[in-house]
Amino acid sequence: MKRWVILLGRGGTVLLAIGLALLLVSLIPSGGQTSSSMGTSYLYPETWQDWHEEVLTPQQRFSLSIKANGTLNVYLFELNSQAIYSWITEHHPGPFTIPTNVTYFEEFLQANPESIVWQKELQNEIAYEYSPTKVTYATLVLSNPSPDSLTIDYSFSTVTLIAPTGKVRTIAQWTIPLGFLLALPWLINLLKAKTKTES
Amino acid sequence: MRKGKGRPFLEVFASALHEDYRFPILEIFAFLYALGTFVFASFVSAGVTGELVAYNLTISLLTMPLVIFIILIFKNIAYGLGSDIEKGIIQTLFSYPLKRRWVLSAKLLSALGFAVLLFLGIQVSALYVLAPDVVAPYLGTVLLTDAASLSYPFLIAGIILLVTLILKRGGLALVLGIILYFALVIIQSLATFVAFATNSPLILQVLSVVSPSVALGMYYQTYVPFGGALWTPTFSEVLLYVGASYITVAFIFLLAYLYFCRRLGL
Repeated sequence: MKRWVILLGRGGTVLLAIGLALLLVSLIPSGGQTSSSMGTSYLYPETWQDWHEEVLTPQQRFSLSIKANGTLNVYLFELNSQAIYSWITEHHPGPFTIPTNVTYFEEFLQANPESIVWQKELQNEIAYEYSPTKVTYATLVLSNPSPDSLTIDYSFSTVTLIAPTGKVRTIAQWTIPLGFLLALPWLINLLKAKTKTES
Repeated sequence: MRKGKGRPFLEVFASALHEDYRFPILEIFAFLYALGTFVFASFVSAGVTGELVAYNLTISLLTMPLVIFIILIFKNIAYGLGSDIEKGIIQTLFSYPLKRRWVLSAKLLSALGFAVLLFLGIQVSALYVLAPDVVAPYLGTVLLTDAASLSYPFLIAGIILLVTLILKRGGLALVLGIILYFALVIIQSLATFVAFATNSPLILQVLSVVSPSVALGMYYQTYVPFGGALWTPTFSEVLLYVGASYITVAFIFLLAYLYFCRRLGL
């Protein structure tokens, strides 16, 4: 058997083995919910509010589901809410500053666009899942730019995983067929040699 | 190696690879490395400071694969090389136009070098899959942690190699290797206990020459088995301990090479 066939074949079987291990990892169920909360609340006109905040690791998945009776802006930040309040009070140091004013928040967004992980304008209902790529704060902020108060139904949960399931499964889905493809000529040759020896 | 010696060296290396990683041994170990790496991954750490997170994550990822790595080394060196000597296969390899040291190098490159390549390849890839933003800015910390943790298995590999060459018997060397590994683990635990009981960092410093991950753990204040930091080395001291441990490893391998070349008696 040619050496390059053996080399590619064994490389393929190793890829196949790694792919199967990753597939198995992705199939291991989550370690359960580490935190969850749900309820109904209100957001006053032209204000913003930090709705949820926690430290997340790449082994955690934060899921959110929000329903509102009007247009609402949803933001996810990789920093703690105190950083937002500090920025606003630092740039508007007056004694009558209301940090939850949406104008100040929009100024913060314009000055720190890199801190936004995800944002969406919610019309009625929204659901989103987020897994960070480092250990970081995850802060969910809701902003109501409209002149009306909004009623918000929310549900948050954080689930602990062994590994980022989606990413690991995607790698497994690529490595298994690729490994099989590389190993195929070697396996056929091996089978032929075995049949020849037996006959 | 002089010109023209490359091909025989590659022949011996290819033959060693074929023997050490017969189908499906390589695949089983690759599967175990990948599975063990992800299953034991942990981000348990106070705060979100990057360097400590990178260190803790790397250490957690090494937990199981290091044991699997040591098993693979035992299989390749003690059982593989030992059986080759016992069955006289090594004498066939001596018929190649190669000096003995190159024959041993080819065998070790397969037994140890390829195993390390597979081990590190899966480890670093897994780190990038798990937390790219932790690994990329702290690659130095990750590599230092890997280097400090691998020094101990290399030391055991060197001792096992020497024992295998002296005994010239695969099975016995394998049994002795397993006993040595567990004995060293027990000695390390006892020494740590004594160090904390007598409030003497000297024992930990000696231990760090053999296993520099102790010094690295002390540096990051994660290796405090009985509460309270007994000794906090500086970063340069940690680097010195890692260097010293690899010098020790190199010395043991040098002894093995000398024995193989001059005193093997074959």
